[in-house]
Amino acid sequence: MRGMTTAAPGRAPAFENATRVAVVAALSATTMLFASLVSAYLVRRSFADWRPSPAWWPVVLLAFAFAASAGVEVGARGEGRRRRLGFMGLALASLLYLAGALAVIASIASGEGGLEMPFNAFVALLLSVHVVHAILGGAFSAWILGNEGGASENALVLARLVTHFLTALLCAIVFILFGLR
Amino acid sequence: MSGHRESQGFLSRYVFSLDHRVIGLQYLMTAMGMALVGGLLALLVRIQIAWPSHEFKAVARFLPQGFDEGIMKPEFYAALFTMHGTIMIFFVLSAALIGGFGNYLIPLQVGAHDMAFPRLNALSYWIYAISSVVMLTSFFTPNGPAASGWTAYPPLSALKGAIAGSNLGQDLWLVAMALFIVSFTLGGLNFLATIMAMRRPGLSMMDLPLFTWSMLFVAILGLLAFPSLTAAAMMLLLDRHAGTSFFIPMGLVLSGEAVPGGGGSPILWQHLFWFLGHPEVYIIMLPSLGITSDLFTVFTGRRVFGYKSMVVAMAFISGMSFLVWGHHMFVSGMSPFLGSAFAVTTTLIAVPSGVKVFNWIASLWNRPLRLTTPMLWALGIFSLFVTGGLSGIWLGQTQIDIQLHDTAFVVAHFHIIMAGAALFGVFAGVHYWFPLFFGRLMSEKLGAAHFLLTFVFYYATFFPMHLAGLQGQVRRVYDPYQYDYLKPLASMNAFITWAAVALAIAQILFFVNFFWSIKRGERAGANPWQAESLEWSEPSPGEESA
Repeated sequence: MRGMTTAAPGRAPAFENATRVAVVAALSATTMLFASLVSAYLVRRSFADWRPSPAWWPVVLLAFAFAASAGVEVGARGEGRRRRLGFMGLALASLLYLAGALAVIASIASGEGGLEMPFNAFVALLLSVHVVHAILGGAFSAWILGNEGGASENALVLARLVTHFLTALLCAIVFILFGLR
Repeated sequence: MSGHRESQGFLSRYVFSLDHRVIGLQYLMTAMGMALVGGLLALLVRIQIAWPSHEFKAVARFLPQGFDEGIMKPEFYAALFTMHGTIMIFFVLSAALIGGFGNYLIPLQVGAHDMAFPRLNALSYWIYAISSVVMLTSFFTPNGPAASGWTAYPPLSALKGAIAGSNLGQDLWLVAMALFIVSFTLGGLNFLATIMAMRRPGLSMMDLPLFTWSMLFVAILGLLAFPSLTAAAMMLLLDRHAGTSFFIPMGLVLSGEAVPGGGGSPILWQHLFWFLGHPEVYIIMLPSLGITSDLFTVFTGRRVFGYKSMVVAMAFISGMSFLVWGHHMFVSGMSPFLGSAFAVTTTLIAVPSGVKVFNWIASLWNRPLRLTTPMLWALGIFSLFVTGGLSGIWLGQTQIDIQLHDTAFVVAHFHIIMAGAALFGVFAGVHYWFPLFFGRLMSEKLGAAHFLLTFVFYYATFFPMHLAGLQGQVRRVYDPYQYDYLKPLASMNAFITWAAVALAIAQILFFVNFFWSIKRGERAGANPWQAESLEWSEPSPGEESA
């Protein structure tokens, strides 16, 4: 059971359960964080400077997020070379997402209205918070690749859960920002 | 049984320990230190309210930045009540009850080796310690600490030039709160994982003490409610430093100059803040209610009446706490229909609260009571919970709240039900689990004297505030007597302040008892209270060394 070296043998099942509880609880807290931010947006979106202007970047960022989801799926289901390829894909997608999000934030900050325009500021804030997750995805991939693809079943299940959750979260954010009329 | 104590140096055993028991005591001791600061600030606030134009040259000598020729400055007064509220709610009561008792007792009460994630646990404490230091550091900044109230309402908190404390002090407040939330979140994850997944085989949830149940609900509340303040704090920081306008309204003029930006809403902050703020009330209170129930079990010799209904009541209170935040905002111009909805949800919380009260009465009814010091504190919590709960029903109604909003009545209400019940819970817990912490008993005589004085002076301090509030005394006012209609309340305010001073002096008994008993208290032996919960099957520190 690689990646679980701190747990004593008799303690491992309880520790694995505890890890699952903790990850689900952390995702719940993350959901509440984004729910708070998005609800703040929803109550203000009827005002002119809180309305979105058309943009291309959500499609690109969504593509990177889906690529990350595909990467973790391939890596978690596969063994050996296939696993390494999957997690290299996750690492690459996370890196591209990170670069893309930072470029979008920089472009918004220097563009029309700048960060003084509430909608722009709101998008920059949401992306900044979501970027933390891309960093986590990259770090997890690096850890797996550093361990020559070795990871416990529990760690792989949780990696899939977290990655898919974050992709779904981005879909929801993009829909609320640009899809709602 | 914790396994981190073998052959360690002083630093790794007592400072950077991974042992949940040491971490629990670290939280408790830090919270006690913060309580001294928070209590001192409260006394200064009371002195200002009672004698606003009096010269306090001796106090001014210690706090020169807060006084002008012996008279307290208005901005310093605002900073005092801001920091008092923040420190007491988050850094004392939350930290002592949850960080202190929770860390020490949860693994013992569920029969676990330690917390599920000991390193995360230690990290949680150290982040809390750093956040406390950051919060205290703000007292030494050039313009003083934050002064926008513990609720940090914008635009006062969003504009750097609004008041002296709106400068660096407000930034440090936000940073300290962000760190505190991180600490609380890490602790909450650990509590949840430990209670749900690390229980001793065969120990069902329905075998757990109600204190552990309360910790489970507190962890869930914290994990789901604190992110709302995190979101708000991030937005506020961006408003202050990145030129955004989440909370800054259009057309604001400060010192004769138009504020740039605009389009934001200060009311938005209030929604986000109170979505945390009200659950925070239960985050502080539920542990005390759990402790009270468990102490009634121990000191009446029979399991608390209606155990399952107590669990359901706590679950209901926790769930409902997310649906009542609007009752803090009845005067913000919200729709009367929405106000009515919040009044209904607020009143509904009286139902599970009533269940708890009647279960406690049934638990005490016709039973031989062992009136030990912990039991006295538990009875005190019972009294405060009923008294404060009744005034809460008043404040939950829009028609009454609009009259009483931001008056001393509200101050009386939350100091009795939230601060008082929680503070008494800390004392009850410390007296009860002291033998587990240090292998010795605290003095019963000193403990009983401390309880009686605290109980009397607590009511003497806060009960008259109901009357002052009903007569229109607004809170947070620098000099109440600039208004003619408040001048007749001067003698009542002086009485309240003297009672507060007596209350503070009574706490010396606790500190003397606590530190004296660590070294010289009577040896407790195993299970001195004849309790049946699992933590008492552990050897106490004294027995371990023997």
